[in-house]
Amino acid sequence: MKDSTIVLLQKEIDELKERNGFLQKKLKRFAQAFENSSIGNSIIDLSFRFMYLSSSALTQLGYTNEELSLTSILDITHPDDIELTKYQYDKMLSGEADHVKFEKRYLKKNGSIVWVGVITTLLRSSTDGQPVHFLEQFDDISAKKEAERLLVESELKYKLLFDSMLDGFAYHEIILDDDGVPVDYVFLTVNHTFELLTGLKKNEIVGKRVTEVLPQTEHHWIERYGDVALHGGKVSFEDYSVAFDKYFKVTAYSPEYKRFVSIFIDVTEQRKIEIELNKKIEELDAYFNNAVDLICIADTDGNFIRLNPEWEITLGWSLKEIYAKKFYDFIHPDDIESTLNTVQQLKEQTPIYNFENRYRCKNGDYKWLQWRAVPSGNRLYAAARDISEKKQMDVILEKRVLERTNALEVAYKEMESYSYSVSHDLRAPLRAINGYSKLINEEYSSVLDTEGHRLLGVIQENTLKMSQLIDDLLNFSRLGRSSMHYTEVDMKAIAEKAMQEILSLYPNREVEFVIDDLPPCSGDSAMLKQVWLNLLSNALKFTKQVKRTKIEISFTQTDDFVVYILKDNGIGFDMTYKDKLFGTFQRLHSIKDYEGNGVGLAIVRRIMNRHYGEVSAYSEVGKGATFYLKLPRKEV
Amino acid sequence: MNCNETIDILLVEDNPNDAELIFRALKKNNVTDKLHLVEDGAEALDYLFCKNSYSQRERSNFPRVIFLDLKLPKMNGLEVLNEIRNNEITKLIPVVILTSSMEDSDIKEAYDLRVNSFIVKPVDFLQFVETIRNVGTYWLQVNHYPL
Repeated sequence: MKDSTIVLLQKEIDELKERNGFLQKKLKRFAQAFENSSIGNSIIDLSFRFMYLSSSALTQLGYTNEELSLTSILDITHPDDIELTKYQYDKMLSGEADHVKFEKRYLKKNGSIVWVGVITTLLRSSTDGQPVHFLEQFDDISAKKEAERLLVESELKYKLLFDSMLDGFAYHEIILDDDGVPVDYVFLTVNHTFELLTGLKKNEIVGKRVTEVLPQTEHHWIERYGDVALHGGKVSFEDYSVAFDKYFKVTAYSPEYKRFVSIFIDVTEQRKIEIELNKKIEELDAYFNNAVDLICIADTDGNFIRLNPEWEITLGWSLKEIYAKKFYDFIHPDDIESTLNTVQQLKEQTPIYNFENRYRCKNGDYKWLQWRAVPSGNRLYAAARDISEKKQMDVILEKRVLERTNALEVAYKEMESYSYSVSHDLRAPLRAINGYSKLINEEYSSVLDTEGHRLLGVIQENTLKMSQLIDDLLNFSRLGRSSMHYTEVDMKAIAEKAMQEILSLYPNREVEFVIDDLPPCSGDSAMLKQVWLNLLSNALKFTKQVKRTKIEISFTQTDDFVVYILKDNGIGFDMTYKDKLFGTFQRLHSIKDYEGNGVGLAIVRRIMNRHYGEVSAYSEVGKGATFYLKLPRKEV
Repeated sequence: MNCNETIDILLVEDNPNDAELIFRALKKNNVTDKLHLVEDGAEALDYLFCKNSYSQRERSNFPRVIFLDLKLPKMNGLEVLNEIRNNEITKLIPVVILTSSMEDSDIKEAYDLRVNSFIVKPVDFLQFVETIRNVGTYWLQVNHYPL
């Protein structure tokens, strides 16, 4: 061997040695990288069985190399990802791809699932290019997957919110003319509420210009939006849109240059209510300012809050002067206490009607005001009327009433003393005439002849008649004055009692007396008995010529009245004079035939009048008389 | 007038005719004739309290009954009755009101003043005599009263 050859061989050997060392080094580095990488590495044979896994791979899956050795990767793949895994690996075996990249789920030893991102390479022999085995690298992407899920969820939420928000939402891009002035805008997207509020359909307007969709759009809308789109910031305003005939409350902002979002609500209803309300307020103001009454809003502390101009007119103060004081400052000192009491009632939330007090005018006079007030918390809504004239009139009237009452009382007193005198002073002389003529009878009996005695008898008889007349007259006048004692009166009982008393005066008369079961009435029992006494005594008086006196008492009634009917079979009377029947001192028969002074029926009528009842009579001469007493059933 | 005689009846009556008829009725029926007449309310009180023209009267002598008319000059019967009842020494003397007419208000007031009787004088003389006799007999002979 030539030296040079040896040298060459030696050189080659050295080179090989060097190369081997290099390869050894490289292999060592590779093994280190394979083992120590944070990514999970695994060698998989062509039958998809694990041959070797790096510690990171084992950690991620929770197994040891012994446990997984020669286990099919499909055995620990999530069932839903088996097909995918097979497909990806087959792609490499068929030569379609030399490596694949996909995401799948492994089942960990503890049964939980781990999402991994996989990059698998099919390693081929360097000599013949035949597949040797797979190198699968995977990494835990659970966190990424969760983030994705959350993102989807959140997007879904925003989509829902976007569509279901009560505000209309629209995203636009502004269009400028050659000079950079906003002239139009295009709809980029809108939400569902936008569709509801505008009646426009999303798919019909997106990508279109507003001037196309709504040709009536006023230019100031475009101007305003253009300003926001070009200069950023945010504007909020409320405006009327001719295009929709609606009022919108709008907030617009620009998320990026030339683009803007408008969020709006329809405030047409509120606006209409406001307009209506303003109209009402105007109307009320008109009433308030033109009312003839003094109207005010005040508080319970005495402050005026609002007054109408009538205050100036009535009291003479300017409204400014009134506002500057409390209402107590104007009230008459004598009315302060009652006013305080009234305000207290109002504080207790009780409305006040017809309260009266006096307010001082600028000229020092006082005006009588009559109040109505309604409280609401510590506010008072009150209206007053100037009743000064009425008050003056009342004073005059009261004075007049007082004068007349006094006059009446004087007359009444005079009447009382008159009848008192009558009853005392007219009787005494009668008693003297009667008494002294009797004394003549007795003490001068021997010097008087029969005619003398008769004449004295006539004198005595007339004194008694006159005494009776005085009694009847006084009774009659008392009836007009005495007070009534109303009770429910048993008319049958008192009529029967009256009849007994009358019959005792006529012991020799044969009388047939028939009385129905009379209903009661309301009245003064003593007075009504007097009525029966007078009527029954009349009946007996005017039946004295018939052989057998017949007196019947019956009745008829309505809801409100009872009519008692007294019928006799006496001489009756001529209906021509029925109007005189009940007059005082009126007699329809001669005193020679029938005794009496004509007061009896007048008393009956007066008693009936005092009971708000009526008395009437019917008769035919010679065929008896019927008297009707109509009385209320209840006290009037 | 011998005003120191003891009397049965003090008659307060302004009408002399009535007074005479009363006197006659009492005397004729033998009730009494010891009667003193005064003609108005003031005189009645003078008599009872020994004043003015009666200042010499023996104070301890009182009538056994007073017949008092209501309608009297100066002082009416009810005022006299009120004075009598309000005085310690006269308050127990029986008082009979003899009046011409019956007024409800008079009766009530008289009874309020503790009158002993209220009598209306009848116009008819026979009834009148009978009434006076009854009243006189009752108060002077039937009735007892504290001494």
